[in-house]
Amino acid sequence: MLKVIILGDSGVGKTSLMQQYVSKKFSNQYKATIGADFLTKQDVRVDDRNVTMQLWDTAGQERFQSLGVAFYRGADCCVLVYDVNNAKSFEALDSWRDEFLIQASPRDPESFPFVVLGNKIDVEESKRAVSQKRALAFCQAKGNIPYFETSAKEAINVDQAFEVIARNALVQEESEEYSSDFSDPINIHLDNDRGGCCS
Amino acid sequence: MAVFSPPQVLDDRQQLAVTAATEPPVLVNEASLAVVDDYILSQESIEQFSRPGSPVPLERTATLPPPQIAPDLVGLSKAFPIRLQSRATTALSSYSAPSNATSAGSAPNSVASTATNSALSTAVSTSPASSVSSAPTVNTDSKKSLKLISKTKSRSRIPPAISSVGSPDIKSLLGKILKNYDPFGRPYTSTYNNAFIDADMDDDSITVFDDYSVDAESTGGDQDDEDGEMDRFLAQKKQYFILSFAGKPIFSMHGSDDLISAHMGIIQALAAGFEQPSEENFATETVPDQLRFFTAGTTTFAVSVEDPLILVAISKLGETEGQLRTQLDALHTQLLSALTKAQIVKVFKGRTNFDLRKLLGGAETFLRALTREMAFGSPAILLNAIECVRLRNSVRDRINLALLKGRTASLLYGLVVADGRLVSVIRPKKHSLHPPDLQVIFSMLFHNNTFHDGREHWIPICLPKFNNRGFLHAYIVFFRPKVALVLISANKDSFYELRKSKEDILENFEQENCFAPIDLAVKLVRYRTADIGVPAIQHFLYKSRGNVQFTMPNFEPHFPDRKSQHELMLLYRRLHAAIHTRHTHLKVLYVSRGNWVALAWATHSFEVYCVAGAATSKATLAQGMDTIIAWVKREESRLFISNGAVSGLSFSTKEFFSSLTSLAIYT
Ligand SMILES: Nc1nc2c(ncn2[C@@H]2O[C@H](COP(=O)(O)OP(=O)(O)O)[C@@H](O)[C@H]2O)c(=O)[nH]1
Ligand SMILES: [Mg+2]
Repeated sequence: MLKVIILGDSGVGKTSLMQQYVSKKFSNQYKATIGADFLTKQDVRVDDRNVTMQLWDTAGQERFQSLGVAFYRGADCCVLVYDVNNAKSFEALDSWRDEFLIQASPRDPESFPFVVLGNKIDVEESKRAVSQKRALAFCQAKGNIPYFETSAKEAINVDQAFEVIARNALVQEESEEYSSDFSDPINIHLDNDRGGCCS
Repeated sequence: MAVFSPPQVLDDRQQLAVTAATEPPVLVNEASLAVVDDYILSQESIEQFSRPGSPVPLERTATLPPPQIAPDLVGLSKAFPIRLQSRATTALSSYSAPSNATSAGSAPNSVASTATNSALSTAVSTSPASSVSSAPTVNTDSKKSLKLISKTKSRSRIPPAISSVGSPDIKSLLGKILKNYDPFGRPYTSTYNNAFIDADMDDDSITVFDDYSVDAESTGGDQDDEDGEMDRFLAQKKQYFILSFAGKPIFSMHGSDDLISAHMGIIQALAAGFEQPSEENFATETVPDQLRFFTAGTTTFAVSVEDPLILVAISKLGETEGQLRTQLDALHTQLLSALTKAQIVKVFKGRTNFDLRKLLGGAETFLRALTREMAFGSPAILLNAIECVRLRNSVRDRINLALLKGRTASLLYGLVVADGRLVSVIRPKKHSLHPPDLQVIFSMLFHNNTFHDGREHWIPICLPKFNNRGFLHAYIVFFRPKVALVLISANKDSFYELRKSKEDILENFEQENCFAPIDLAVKLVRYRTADIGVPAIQHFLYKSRGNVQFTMPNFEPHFPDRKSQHELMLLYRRLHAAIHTRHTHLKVLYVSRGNWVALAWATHSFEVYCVAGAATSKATLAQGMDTIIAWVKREESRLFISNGAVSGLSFSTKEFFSSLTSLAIYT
């Protein structure tokens, strides 16, 4: 079970991207996400593995930030979304990233997997506010974050993006060895006066 | 461009599920407690009788019980003095009439006062909840809410009487009995006198709910349309979840990953919302808050935060927080038995995203079996006690001796368990066993068939109440279809030694003629109420608090199938809930419902719950209870194991101890 967090300003299309990925649906209606939504995508193939993704969709609103720590804790991948037609949403990416790293405090922040999505590329070119070049420069500067230009509406690049998200999440989840060590000893002293247990 | 339009009705299944899981809260209010109308006998505080300095009017205000129930109550009052004379004779002489301040109140008023108490203690909600949409009513652990609860307590000096229509005789007589049991009117945190079992008190429960459904548990049919799947999921009467602090699912009783993960997320967010001191309280509140309990309509959620895990029990059966908490504790214990606390803490350390299901392996089977059993209704978990096979002392001694003679150096505990009931136990001096640990073993042995193949099994097992940091090793063999020998050692290399020990023990059984009584006990199961002279009682539960053990008769003939047994267990849960409400010491409860009447009585030293057919008079019921109590008293040494065979004592020679000391086990 992989936990994936989706962050970004309100209205950039986070919920739409998840809907498109999970249920191949898109709605033009806008419904603000309140607090958080959860979706699950089962049977995601990563090479020869089958994994389940738990997608945590958040609301951009300030007043839900208090959920922070809890929300971000234990994430295996963080998806940062902006709207290519909205420069402000792009400029906010850096603070979303910082926010996540502070709240989630992953063990190794340098290597924690992010993926950046520039959404709504189906909208007419004249509206475009952030160039691909600018976005790629940002991603490169932040440690080669994978970058996709997507459209939740037209289902462009959505599956491809989530394939990378799943793969990187899986790598993160398995990044550290755990030992299933059954040899924690229990020392038992049996004697006549005190049969007290344990050490 | 983004088109902004008003929010629409959610059409997505996942979101529907979320909505249902947090449906608008209904406070536990007086209305939801209206069920206590059915409880006719009084429930009263011993304080009323024993509080020093409280004026005791010698003349009793006339309290006439409502005429329609008076005759039976008189009958009941006749039934109780029989015992009184034998047990409370000394108290009798100092008897003075109790104040009638409370009993003068009309029944509905008394009900209201109880209801208010409960409602207040349950409706403690704190600010973090409001940051979550449609926040349920939440009861938390923080100092603040504790304060609130205790405030509530001190405000209600009036002993909560569920209904005060009982005749003064009954009340005063029962008061006498109880006073005799517990002259200081202490709350139930009594000491345990059983050296063999170590126990924690069961939680007091807080609330009684109105919904009292006796529908059989819904089973997940094989219809596979997704809507139906979600509906069935949400319709489950019981649900248990275990998740990580990150909200990753570890265990769920019902539902596919797809269905449950949204619930896990919600619960994780709710639980985590309470961890951080809220901003306005930041300066004053240093102890982190904890989410414990909330309700949505008649669905109850109990949450247990056991860093780094969150356990949740959801019930539509009207169970109380205390009851659900006992169940969560059993579930947690079962999980720890497979993994140890130390290992769980270790794998999550520095990697909160760990997926514990990777380590769960076969343990899921045991968790599943346990939750099934708890949803059905387990007397052992309800009472937080274990059950023993009723045996003659001489027979049990023979079995004990056979075990002791066959024991080897590294044996820690030896158990013979028949069909979920303890036959015999040997243990080192000063090492007692805890009911939750025993329940873990029993549940593994009998609630699924993993070990039922007659072959030898050797498993690492953690007994968390004994030591939650490491594993012991258990040699398990069913030497009869329903009877297991369990030999537990701290030494992981002792398989061959314990196998040899088993052979010797079984040989001793043969020689000492131990198989026949064990086989008979399995064949007859338990006893019948008719056998012990109370044919009118269809079933009962008797818990000896001191022994942390209980006894009960066969379900047959009155409760022959799973459905009726489930219904009976629901009734017991209701009785147990009502009798464990806070603020009272003296608890006698009479309930008439559907096909049954029931009487429950809890004292300092025992709890007893009797069920009879609806036509049974209160006098007969009370007489039956009286007979049962007397019978259990007589049979105590056969029904309960009070010490277990102490391996150190029976071989208390110098050589034995020195050999043990030199063999002190360090694995
Ligand atoms: N044209 C277009 N509109 C989109 C796209 N993705 C989302 N939207 C619209 O943008 C609005 C906000 O989307 P939503 O998913 O709710 O954004 P969120 O606040 O980030 O979750 C909605 O009206 C969507 O229909 C896209 O790829 N193309
Ligand atoms: Mg949204």
